[in-house]
Amino acid sequence: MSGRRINAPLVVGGLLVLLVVIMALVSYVWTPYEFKFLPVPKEQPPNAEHWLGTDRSARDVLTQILLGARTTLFVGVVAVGVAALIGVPVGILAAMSPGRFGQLIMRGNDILLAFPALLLAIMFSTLYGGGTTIAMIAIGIATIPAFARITRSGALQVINTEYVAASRVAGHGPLAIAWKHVLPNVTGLVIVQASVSFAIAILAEAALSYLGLGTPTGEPSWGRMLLESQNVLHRSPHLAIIPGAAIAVAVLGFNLFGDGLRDYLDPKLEGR
Amino acid sequence: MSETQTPAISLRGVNREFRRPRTSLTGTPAVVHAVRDVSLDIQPGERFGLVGESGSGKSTLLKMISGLDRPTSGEIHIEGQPIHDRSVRKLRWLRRRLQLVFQDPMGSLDPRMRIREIIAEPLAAQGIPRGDKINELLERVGMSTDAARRFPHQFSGGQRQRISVARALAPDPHILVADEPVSALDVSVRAQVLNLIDEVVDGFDLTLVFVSHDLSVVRHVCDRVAVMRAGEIVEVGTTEQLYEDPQHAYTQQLLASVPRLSEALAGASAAQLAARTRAALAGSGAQDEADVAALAEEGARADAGAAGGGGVPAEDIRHDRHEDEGGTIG
Repeated sequence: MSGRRINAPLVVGGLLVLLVVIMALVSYVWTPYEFKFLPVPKEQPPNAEHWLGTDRSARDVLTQILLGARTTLFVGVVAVGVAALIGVPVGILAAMSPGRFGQLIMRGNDILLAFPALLLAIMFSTLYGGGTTIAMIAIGIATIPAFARITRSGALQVINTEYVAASRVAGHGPLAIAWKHVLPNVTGLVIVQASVSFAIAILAEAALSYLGLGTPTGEPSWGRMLLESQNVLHRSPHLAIIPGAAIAVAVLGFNLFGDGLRDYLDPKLEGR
Repeated sequence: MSETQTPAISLRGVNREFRRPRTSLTGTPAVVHAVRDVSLDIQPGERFGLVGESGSGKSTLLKMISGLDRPTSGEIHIEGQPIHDRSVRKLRWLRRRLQLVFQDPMGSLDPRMRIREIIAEPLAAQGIPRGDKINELLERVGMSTDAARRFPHQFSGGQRQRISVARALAPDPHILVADEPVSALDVSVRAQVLNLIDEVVDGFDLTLVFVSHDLSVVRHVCDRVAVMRAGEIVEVGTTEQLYEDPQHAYTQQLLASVPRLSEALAGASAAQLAARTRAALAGSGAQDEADVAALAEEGARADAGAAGGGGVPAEDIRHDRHEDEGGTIG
């Protein structure tokens, strides 16, 4: 569509997200050093040898940042993927089910919503062993209610429109209506929710890593870096600032990108 | 219309009750009786109007006729086949016979679908091959064929109603149900859309059910009219009978309370109109005599201005076809 408007948040957000993606991709073919303890001084500030310095275990920070981008993307994709793939259909089902059944789904949703995400992640880690994937599936499950709610509220509006009545009169069943009308009309809401949840997942991963339930020691993660830096904050602030900035860039990027994409996808704004 | 012919639409003792959500845990939920004991036969080829104020149950009745809702009790037959006891899923055959044009030109087209897909929806749902039908339908409703690749928001209200009509015609229905198809439109566009409905009903030999709260609009389009009030049909008659000699007190009241644009155009003088309004208001215990008097004066002046012109006959309005705004907006 040539008429669609490219907006500023879309471009800026897109570039920031692209930056994170490029860092992750680059890490597959090149990193300045290996991700291990190097025979160099610890806690070096940024210099010519180590562009972003070294941490308290004498590991190269840039290497960690590049490798950490992978973890960050992986974390977001798993958590948001789980939440959206289950939450969106549940929300649509709840909206389209008449009477008690829809109510029942949403009450179940409320129960899950009342359950702290981190507690669920801890439970999962205890039951199925630690690790980033398990933790993020747990975060994803805890995020299902957010997706289900936002989808349901959007879907309720859609199914009460005359175009859905028209579709029924045309002879479409509920599945076809869900697919052709409801889903396309709630994508905007889902995208915005996904961008917010992506950011939340990145932060949750950092919190879990701190508890030893997220990314295990010895695997690169921005959240881990941030937490490992806390004891030396006064001595080597760059060890907190650099991963902090990386997280901020990723979170901001996804939020802006989500906003821009919603406007871009809305055909009503086309050509204005 | 022979007596033995199967009615296009037949309603027998149709009731529809809605249960209000209960307001307390112990109380019994209130029941709203939206449609009460409606019996009606609409013959093939008839142009049937359904009038009533909002909340009179006409939309509920329409939903039941269209198979979007089921009556609490009573029977509905479309072309002799029962639909009152069928789930929506078993009514696919109905979709080829009966189609709807909706009220809201903004809300009745999915904003995310191209016009092509919107018009093709009944075809897709019925598994009818599309062929060149979309273009034919667009031309039939007076739209250019390059509308097909556009989105609904690129069209004006009148154009969107044309698209709605095209969609309704797609599966070659026998019955067209129009739910207030022009009430959301500018007065200037109404005549065009009414003309279009008029034309396609003639051209495709359709039975028309036309719902409106606007008596003047119904008068232009329909042969027979039913007046609904509080879920009941209070009077049914040919358009002429009903407008010239309303039997039921409510019909009389309704006719008296409507601003008579159509009649003014059809030649009724504004002074007459104002006088009638005054009578109606007096009848309903209106206090604002001064306002009414002012209205009457204004009417008299307007008459003086239009002297000799004699007004435009309603027939002319109906067949005077303007082109819709032409092209698209945006």
